[in-house]
Amino acid sequence: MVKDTLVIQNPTGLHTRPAKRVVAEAKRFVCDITIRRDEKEANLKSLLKLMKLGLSQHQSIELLCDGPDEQEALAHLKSYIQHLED
Amino acid sequence: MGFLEYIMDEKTVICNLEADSWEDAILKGGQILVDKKTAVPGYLTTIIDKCRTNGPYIVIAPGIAMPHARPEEGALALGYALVTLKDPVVFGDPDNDPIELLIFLVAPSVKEHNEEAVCQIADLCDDEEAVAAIMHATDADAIYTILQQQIQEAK
Repeated sequence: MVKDTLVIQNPTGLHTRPAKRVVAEAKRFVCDITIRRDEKEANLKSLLKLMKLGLSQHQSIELLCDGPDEQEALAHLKSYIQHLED
Repeated sequence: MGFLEYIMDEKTVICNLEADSWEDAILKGGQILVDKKTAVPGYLTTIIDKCRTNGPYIVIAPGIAMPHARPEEGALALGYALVTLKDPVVFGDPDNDPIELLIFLVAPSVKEHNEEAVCQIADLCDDEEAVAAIMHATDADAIYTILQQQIQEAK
């Protein structure tokens, strides 16, 4: 299992439109991917679970990847979330 | 006030709305936001334009869409409406079409939008049993009863 922390940069946070794109990216990997903020966590491959976290700009989150392609998944998703623009 | 409490208080449920396209469903269903003075009329056409440009970003789960735009795109006050369709419509999202439940959202700030409204709607949509019951309801009163049960369970 690998993990890393990052801060959400895009102004609208991970609400539906950016969130939907992040979930689509997560689904490209076979490993389990969890996103965590404080004590709450969600499966990053589920849009509804992600929406339930209510993630906004400037919040710090942790990404945890566990499975055969965990290294690639973590690197890709960290970069993808940090480069969201809207 | 929470999402469910708002809908109960303001009576913003429409059951078995007749719509012949996804655009029609947004315009007819979302009119209630305009009538309640929570959104300007252009809010709904903005949602349609954005879906045409960006794809159906408002489709969030099988059978469910959450029509909304950004606070600066015509939000006047926090508002919600829950609309079921008599006949489902296709949005062009193969994983989730056809859509028969629309939960309209308008929020005047990003904070309210993300941290309150979206989470509360996702909570309801993640309850498959409640969603199925809402979709099968034959009148608005049946839907209010289901929502009231959800409020009780959350306490």
